[in-house]
Amino acid sequence: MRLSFLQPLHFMYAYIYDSFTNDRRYGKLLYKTEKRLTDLNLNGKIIRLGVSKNIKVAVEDEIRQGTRTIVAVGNDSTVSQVINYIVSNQSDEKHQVTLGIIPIAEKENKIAAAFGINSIADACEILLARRLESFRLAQINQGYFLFKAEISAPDTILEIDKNYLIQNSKPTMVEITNSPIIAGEDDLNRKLKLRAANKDGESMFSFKELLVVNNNASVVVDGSLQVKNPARIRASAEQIRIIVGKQRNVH
Amino acid sequence: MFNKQEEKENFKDAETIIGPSVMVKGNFNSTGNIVIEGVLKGGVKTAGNVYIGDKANITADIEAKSARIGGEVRGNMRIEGSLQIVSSAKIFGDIECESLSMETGATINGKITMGKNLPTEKKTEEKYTEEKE
Repeated sequence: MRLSFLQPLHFMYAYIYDSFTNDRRYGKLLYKTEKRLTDLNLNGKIIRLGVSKNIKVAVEDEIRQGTRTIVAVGNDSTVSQVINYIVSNQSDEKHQVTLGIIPIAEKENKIAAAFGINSIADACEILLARRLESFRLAQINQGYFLFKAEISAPDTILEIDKNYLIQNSKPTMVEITNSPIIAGEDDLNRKLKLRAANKDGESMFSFKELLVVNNNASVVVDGSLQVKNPARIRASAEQIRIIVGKQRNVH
Repeated sequence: MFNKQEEKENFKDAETIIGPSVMVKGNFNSTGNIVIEGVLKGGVKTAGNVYIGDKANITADIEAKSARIGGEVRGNMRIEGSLQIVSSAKIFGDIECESLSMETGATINGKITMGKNLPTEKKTEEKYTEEKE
């Protein structure tokens, strides 16, 4: 057992490169990133996603092999998917896997920005500092999300806590937020918040369980993944441990 | 008579807001303040206060700590504290409350019971027996 403590730090890291980073235009950027990580003694196993390997298989393999830190190299979609597969596969709290993020591409990196990771240079320093924070997740069907789920379409039916139905006659943006997300003592009793807004005004509800039904639109979680409905949304007991920056903007 | 802005200020921290184009069907139980500007059919029960906007349409029994009624309510109300009824209100149902204030123009079609010691709520069975007799 003691031998594991003597292993060099870099054995602990697995970097999962999303398939879009295989594009030639990211080549130089990734080379620079890898060089910086090596300088900081943070180099680890690199897994490039593509036709032969998807995120699910990559995360499952790493967890099975005992990797303790998985770094998502990509955008919001990459981070969301990695979170889902980590949470679905980690066995217990003692063997919790930590998530690191390296944002590639300027747009679609709102999750990284919320955790104070605004650039690749930031990301490398943040990985080195290894400031850990646990975040509570919300569950949608069999998956999870960090910040919010949205659906924007007319005739969306919302059933709250199996007690009452909410119907909107006009096109409405429905936003479900998982807040506060920093893990705390009252995790079991927490509720999620629902905000429905259109040009006439806004509505707000809090709930433990919500059913979303709309035959013409999907629910989008964390601005990146689409979930088919009916979608059942609830606060989850599951948490994810993330390496965050000092300037994180989540509460 | 009543200052609308001031009235709404008291509900700034409302836990639930039912907006103007929203319809809620079912039993609505809450512990916080509720603002209703839309349509509600079912029941409302809260340990907090209820604000019913001038264009709201409620078909429900209401139980709350205090209430301000501006729209149309079809159902009985049981308010622990003060009930404020503004000129736009139309109420079809019985009212139980500790204190009542009402603007000219409001209409009430029902029985009003007021006082500090309101009768305890009758169980459905008792109500049914009384109605039969």
